[in-house]
Amino acid sequence: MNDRLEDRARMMIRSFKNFVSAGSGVDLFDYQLDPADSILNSIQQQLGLTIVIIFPRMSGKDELLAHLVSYLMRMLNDKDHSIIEINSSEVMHDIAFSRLVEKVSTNVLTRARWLKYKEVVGIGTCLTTFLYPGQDAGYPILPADLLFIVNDAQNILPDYFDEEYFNLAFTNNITRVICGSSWDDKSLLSREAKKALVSEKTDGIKRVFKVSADEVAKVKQGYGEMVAEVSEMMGKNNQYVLSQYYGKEIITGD
Amino acid sequence: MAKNKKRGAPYGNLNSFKHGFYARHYSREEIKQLKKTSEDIHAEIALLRVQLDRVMDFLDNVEDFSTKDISLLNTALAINLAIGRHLRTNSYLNGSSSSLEDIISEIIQEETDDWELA
Repeated sequence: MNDRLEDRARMMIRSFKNFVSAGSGVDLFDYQLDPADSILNSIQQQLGLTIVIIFPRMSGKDELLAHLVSYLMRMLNDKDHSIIEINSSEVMHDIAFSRLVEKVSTNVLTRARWLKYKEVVGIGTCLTTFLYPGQDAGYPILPADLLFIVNDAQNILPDYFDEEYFNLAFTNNITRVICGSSWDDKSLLSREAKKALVSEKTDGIKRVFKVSADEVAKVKQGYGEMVAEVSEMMGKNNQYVLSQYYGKEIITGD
Repeated sequence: MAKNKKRGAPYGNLNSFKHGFYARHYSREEIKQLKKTSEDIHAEIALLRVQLDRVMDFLDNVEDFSTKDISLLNTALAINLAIGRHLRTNSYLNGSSSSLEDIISEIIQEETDDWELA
């Protein structure tokens, strides 16, 4: 029995995909697994990459982040490491925090080991701190040393980010993930995507993972219908639809 | 009110294996095996496994089952059930199966050894 148990445990832990599917019963799509592999590779090899994820709304970006953070904390639960996730508002922060709690409390490999304290979720000594602009944490925040995530980066201005979070995000060889759904060319998401594309050309390492609503609709049941409904309601050429679902950035001209 | 002092040897004490009842009934090899485990419930499980091995060794050599042999087979099954109960109790007390946790920790250690983290 132990051999079979061991084989199963090994299968579940060896890959992020299996950790999620066997541990949580969720099969992630390839468009979610591709950036996850790059992020994990950057962390494992200490490449210090900035990975940019641009997914359309409601396509599972936050779901991916929660599973990924859960996996990293479980794998490094006996090592002192820190992950920081910034969300663009208190509402988004609460949603992201609850989502991670839901993941760690239901995955069979994490549910007996996690803890939360204020804005921190941890497994063993590997901790994830959630922050949002304007928040008064009430305690000192240590810089991330494993992974730094900015979620909904289309709603954060680059100057604000540089001023508020520079110290937390720029430790040695840290991997950064900037993600969101496209909006305008003044956002942090836009700036980081442009920088990442330049880096891609320099070393050939893929950093920008951009998916449109049509690509998601091919694999995610009901997604196409939902986007069609929004398009019909707002108009196919509406700026919101084009940017948030089809990744066409709004050019401000400023 | 003062609590009554617990009678008998502390948990994990193995003196009886060396000097008492068990020394008369268990071989030196079996006692060595039992001494490897000092925790209470694990010691009980180890003891049951030794007994089970012993019964099974005997039954392996039986060709025609007599009534006595069948009762021994029942004994083996009862011991097996008792081991299962002890393992479940251990799992309940610890919140999870320690053996599974140990396996997972070992695998994680192996997997993350290659990670070039500072």
